[in-house]
Amino acid sequence: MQSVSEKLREYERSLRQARAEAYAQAETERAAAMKERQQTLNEMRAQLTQTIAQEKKTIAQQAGEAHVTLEAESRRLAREIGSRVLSRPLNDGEMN
Amino acid sequence: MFLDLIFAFENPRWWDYPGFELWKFVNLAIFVIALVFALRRFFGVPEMFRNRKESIRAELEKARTERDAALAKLKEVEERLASLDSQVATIKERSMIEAREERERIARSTQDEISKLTAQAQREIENAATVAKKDLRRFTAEQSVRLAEEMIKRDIRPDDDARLFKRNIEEMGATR
Repeated sequence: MQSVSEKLREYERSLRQARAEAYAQAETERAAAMKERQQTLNEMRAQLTQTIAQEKKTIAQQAGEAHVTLEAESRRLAREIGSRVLSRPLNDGEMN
Repeated sequence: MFLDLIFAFENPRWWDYPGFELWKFVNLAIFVIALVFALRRFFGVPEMFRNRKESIRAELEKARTERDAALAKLKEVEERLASLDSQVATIKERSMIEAREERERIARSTQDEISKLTAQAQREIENAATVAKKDLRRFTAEQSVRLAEEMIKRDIRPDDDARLFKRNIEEMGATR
């Protein structure tokens, strides 16, 4: 019976050790995967922040260019409005 | 010496020979019968022996059962030990499968997060564009009205003023 108990203890010890090693291995791989995920997300966030800043800069630049065009368009619309109000063409004088 | 023994048998009777008297055997027989009777009658010796026999048989049976159980246990343990390597291999394989599934789950989660971040960035850019367009429209409208007002103030003549006044009066009358 002692031999049986010893064999049983040896069997259970071997199984426990195998489970512990497997768990440790899985935990190590999981930690590595989580670290890789965090690194990927950090890189993506930095890249997107840069993209957003670049796009906003482009939008602001295009808006500035549009301002010049719309300035002239505003003058045209202002003349058209004035003409309609006064029911006659207006002089095309310099305005601010 | 042999002659002495022959002569010794000749004198006494056969049931009363010294040292081998018959009455002693009779006494012994009576004693044994009485003893057996007393043991059976008053002390329950047969029952005791029967019980003892049953007890020994039960103990033997119990020992046999325990031996069988121990042998079965030994066999089971030996079978387990024999399959230990395959069980360890199974544990490792299962662990590898679970680790792979976990890695895939984390990868999917990462892709989902990237999709969300990208969509959020896209929305932020679209909002910026919408705000810029709205600002340009407001600027155009305000600028047009302001310039029109300045042009009208600069170019309006008395007859324009009178005509506008008259038209306003007419429109008020039509409204009523």
